Amino acid sequence: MPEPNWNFMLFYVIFLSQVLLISFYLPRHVLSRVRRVVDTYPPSTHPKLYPVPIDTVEKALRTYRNLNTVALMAGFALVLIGVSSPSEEMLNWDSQSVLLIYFFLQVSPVILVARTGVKYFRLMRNAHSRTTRTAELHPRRLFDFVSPTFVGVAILTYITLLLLILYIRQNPFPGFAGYVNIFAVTALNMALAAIGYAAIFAPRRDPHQAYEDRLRQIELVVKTIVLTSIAANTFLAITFALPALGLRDFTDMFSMLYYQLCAVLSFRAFRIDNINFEVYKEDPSVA
Amino acid sequence: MEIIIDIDDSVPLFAQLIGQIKKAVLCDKLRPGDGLPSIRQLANDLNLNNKTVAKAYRLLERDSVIQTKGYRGTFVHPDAKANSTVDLNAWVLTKMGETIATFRESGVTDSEIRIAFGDVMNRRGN
Repeated sequence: MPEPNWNFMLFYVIFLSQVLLISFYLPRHVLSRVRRVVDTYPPSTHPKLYPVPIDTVEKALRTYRNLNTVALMAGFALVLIGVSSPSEEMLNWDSQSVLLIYFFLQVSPVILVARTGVKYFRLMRNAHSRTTRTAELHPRRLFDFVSPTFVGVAILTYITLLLLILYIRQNPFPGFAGYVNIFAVTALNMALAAIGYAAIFAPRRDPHQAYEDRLRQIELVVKTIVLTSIAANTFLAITFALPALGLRDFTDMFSMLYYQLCAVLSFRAFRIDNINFEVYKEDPSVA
Repeated sequence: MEIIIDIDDSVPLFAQLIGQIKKAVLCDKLRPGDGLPSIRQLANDLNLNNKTVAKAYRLLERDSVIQTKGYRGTFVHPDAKANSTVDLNAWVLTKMGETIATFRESGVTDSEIRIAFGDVMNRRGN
């Protein structure tokens, strides 16, 4: 009787958890949260929340659900093909590449939602044709939303990663990109910093949003950004360290766990249960 | 403390900003040492040009209602309350009115006053 390949089994168990988490569990929660908002705050009582007809919202939700179903089915298919194939590499190709492409397929509904959100808020701003504008006379600073220690940890993980890249470069493993990694890592962290900066200082996207809600949202986004930076730096450091230590087989499993962490972090930023929906009611003067 | 500006108002936007910040200081809604938003933050929140907010801040700083402490930001001046009651524009108008009245009494024509005023201003600029 052949000995079971534990690495192979563990690989597909983690992959299956990625499929179920990102394409089933999290989308189901997103849809139920949106459904609860639509049911509790319908267009009849909260017209400012709906710059488009409710049918358009329903259509976007259907598209989101369908795309997730496609990703879920594709994930199941990959598991079935994988466990019935003699090759240890996914689709007889390169597991790392297949995992990355599949992850992009899984996040495509989220990208669609983000794009729809941008359009949605633009329509909301266009419909908000007041001549008065308001602002709070209170400064917003980075450390109002996240602790300096937390930011310090992010900077420390970044520096550690840079030092690790420089160290590995002295005895590189096959496929190690050298200084390009430093450029990529710096670009990633700068992009995250730019998103954080925009969250704090950019003009508000929702013209009706209460200031307290905005502060809460900024805090959530900034904390998620810092956490993402720490996670990404740590992930890359481990991804570089594993092949250098001769443990390349575990890189794919670690990538899948990282993708799941990213999905959970993104989901964490999607909070709509603590919003003040009173601001979306019809103006008494209009009624 | 919320600030409200009306883009259809005949009062210039920077003047509305100055007026509201001074009012907030006089009503004790803003106290000496309180932080104020950065120019970019306030301009973005009010959907205004940065230059408009910068002009308001510059004039408030000139009047010692606010003070900028480098990278630490902008704060309400310790003497802001007393300085908020001073209206330099009104003072200039009063002084100019008195001076022009004196010239007229001495027989200087309006045309001569305008030319002299222009000369003095240009000389000061050079």
